[in-house]
Amino acid sequence: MRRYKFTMVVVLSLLTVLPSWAGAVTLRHVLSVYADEKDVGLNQPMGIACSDEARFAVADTGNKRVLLFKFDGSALSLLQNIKLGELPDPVKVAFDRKGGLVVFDAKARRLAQVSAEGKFVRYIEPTGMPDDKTIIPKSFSLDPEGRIYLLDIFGARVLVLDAEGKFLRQVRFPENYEFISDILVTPKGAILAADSAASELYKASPEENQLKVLNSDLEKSQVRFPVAIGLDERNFIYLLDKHSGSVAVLGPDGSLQEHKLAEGWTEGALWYPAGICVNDYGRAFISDTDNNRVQVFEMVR
Amino acid sequence: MNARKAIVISVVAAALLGLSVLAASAAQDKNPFKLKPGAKGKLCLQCHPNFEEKLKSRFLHTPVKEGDCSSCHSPHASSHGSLLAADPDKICLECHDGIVEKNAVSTHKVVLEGACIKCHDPHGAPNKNNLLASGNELCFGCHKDMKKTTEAAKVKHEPVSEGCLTCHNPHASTSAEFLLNEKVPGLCLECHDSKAKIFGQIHMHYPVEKGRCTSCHDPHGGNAKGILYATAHQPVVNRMCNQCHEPADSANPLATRRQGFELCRACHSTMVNEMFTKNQVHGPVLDQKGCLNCHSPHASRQSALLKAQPLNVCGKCHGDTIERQETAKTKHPPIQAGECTACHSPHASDNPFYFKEKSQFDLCGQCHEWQSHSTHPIGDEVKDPRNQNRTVMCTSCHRVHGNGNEHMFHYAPAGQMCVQCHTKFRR
Repeated sequence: MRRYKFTMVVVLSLLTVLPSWAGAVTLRHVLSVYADEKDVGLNQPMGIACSDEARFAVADTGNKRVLLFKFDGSALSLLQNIKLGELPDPVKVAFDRKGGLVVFDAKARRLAQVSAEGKFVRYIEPTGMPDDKTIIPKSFSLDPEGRIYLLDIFGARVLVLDAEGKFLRQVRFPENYEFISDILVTPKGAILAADSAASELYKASPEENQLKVLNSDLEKSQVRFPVAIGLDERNFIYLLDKHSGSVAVLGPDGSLQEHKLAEGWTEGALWYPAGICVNDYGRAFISDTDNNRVQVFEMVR
Repeated sequence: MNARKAIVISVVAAALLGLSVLAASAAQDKNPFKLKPGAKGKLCLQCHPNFEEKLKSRFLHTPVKEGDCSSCHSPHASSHGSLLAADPDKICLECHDGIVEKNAVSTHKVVLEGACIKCHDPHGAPNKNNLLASGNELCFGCHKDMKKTTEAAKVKHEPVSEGCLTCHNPHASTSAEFLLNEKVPGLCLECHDSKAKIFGQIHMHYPVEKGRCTSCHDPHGGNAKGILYATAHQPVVNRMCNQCHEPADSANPLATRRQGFELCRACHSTMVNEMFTKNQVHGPVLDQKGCLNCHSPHASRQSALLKAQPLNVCGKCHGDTIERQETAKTKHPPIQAGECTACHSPHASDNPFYFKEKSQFDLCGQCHEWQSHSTHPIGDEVKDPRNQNRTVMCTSCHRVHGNGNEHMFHYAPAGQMCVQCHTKFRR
């Protein structure tokens, strides 16, 4: 009987501790990327994307270029230095299914397709739209099938396009939104959207045609100005808070788990960061914008 | 005595006993301190003779009139000042608990604070409802700017002269914001007949009675004809509503011809085109509301048709940054003055943070003449030891929107700031 009681106590204690432990993650700084192979320093890097092959691409906005790196956990190598006249102000990048990149240029206000060789292929223009409204993109995300989710702030909607840009459907912004800065599509096709001004996180399941509030308490949780979203393989959400130089880790249901990192200039600290991605190797990549660098963190659980 | 009689007598006796208990309890409620008959207020006046003068006030608070001092004051001891029987900001509600209805849309701040005595004298006053002053003078005691505005207005709005309470409820409103007795335009239409011929002519036959009158007109009076706000959009002044709106006789006349910046671009093309030459356009300019995120399309009290004071306009999205300044030990004057645009270009910029200047030196140097003095090494050539991709700039040491430290230093005490770079001096 005594042994049974002891076992029960241990099991119950574990049940209490495990959920919080399961969500807990430590971001351990492993690398800071400051320059290209010619020692040209990064300048106001904005968007960042991770691929399955341990590659990452960063929009080095101040230098009007995109840099493609590989980091396998020990060695960092620069794969491409992409500077194109068609991309005067690249701010957001994503890997496509052909090994190339899709880049959003803030000045051109267009998406561009860049080949695996780093050559400009074309601008991706939405076609077959149900209306003739002006489209002003702010951000975008690609799903595993290559569909494009375009954040259209002028139309207050997320446009879902096929890889060629053909209109498939649209998802409206929620009521009372303020300013949505970034979206991310999950592997299962749900859309996450970060409202910087309202400090809220929205979500739309694949079958929904309007974003809904997933977490409206972020401001109370000291998330001040979320600007970018990352997602790990457990569907934990990493919300990059530009104004506090930190990362809010949220559970798949949007509940705040913990805050990570802090503002500063030394390695491991952030100063007005703008982009985040998480790869399958358990590493988080953050474009630490006003520190003019990219920082890589191991996610230790 | 038979059993039936006994039961009746017992019931009557029990009823009488109950009644007497109730009566005693009621008497105790009325006279909890068991004061002698006739004592009450007269007893208090024996020690508070100056209060006799107050009792001569034209209007007296009912308990004072009844000499019931102990309804508000405890004669023996109290945890509150003036021997009040309850918390000063709650005591009035013990009798006046219905003063703010549960479904109030807006409530006067002083009422929320329980500061009734800011308007009412709890004993007596020469004004009705024991008000400290009569008419608008009472309101102007706090709303001093409004007094200046209304007095300076060349074009007066009649209800203001009649009294603030013509439109506002002094305690709370269940109908509208700003303690208004009714929502706008309903409130305005109580006096202004939208069916009158002149009303239609003045408003170019647009159904403005469905809109918000206060988006153009200052209800407290002003200097412009038609009490338009000081800054009015030129098409409004020229009554060219159809420059932006669908024709007055169309199915949806209040709808705009285009959305967002595309509407404004028709006239402000130079500004919009110049904006689009910049690398970064401020997000709100490009969203569905566009220019109207920050500007009023009709008229405004603010310059440049801003919707509100700049700190409020910018603070709507950047509240955390404004808050940083509010709690800062050292205030940065441009922010304090609401001049966000002294450093930031609100529409578009080629520079980070929408700075007006590419170089921080040029930006900060507009006000700070540090170049003419000896200074800590600073500039594009001076590397920040903490980060090889940063140079030592003003913001390396100062948080320009403020923080909890003196001189807006990132660290306190100041020495802590220095050893961030001069590590060999760290203790």
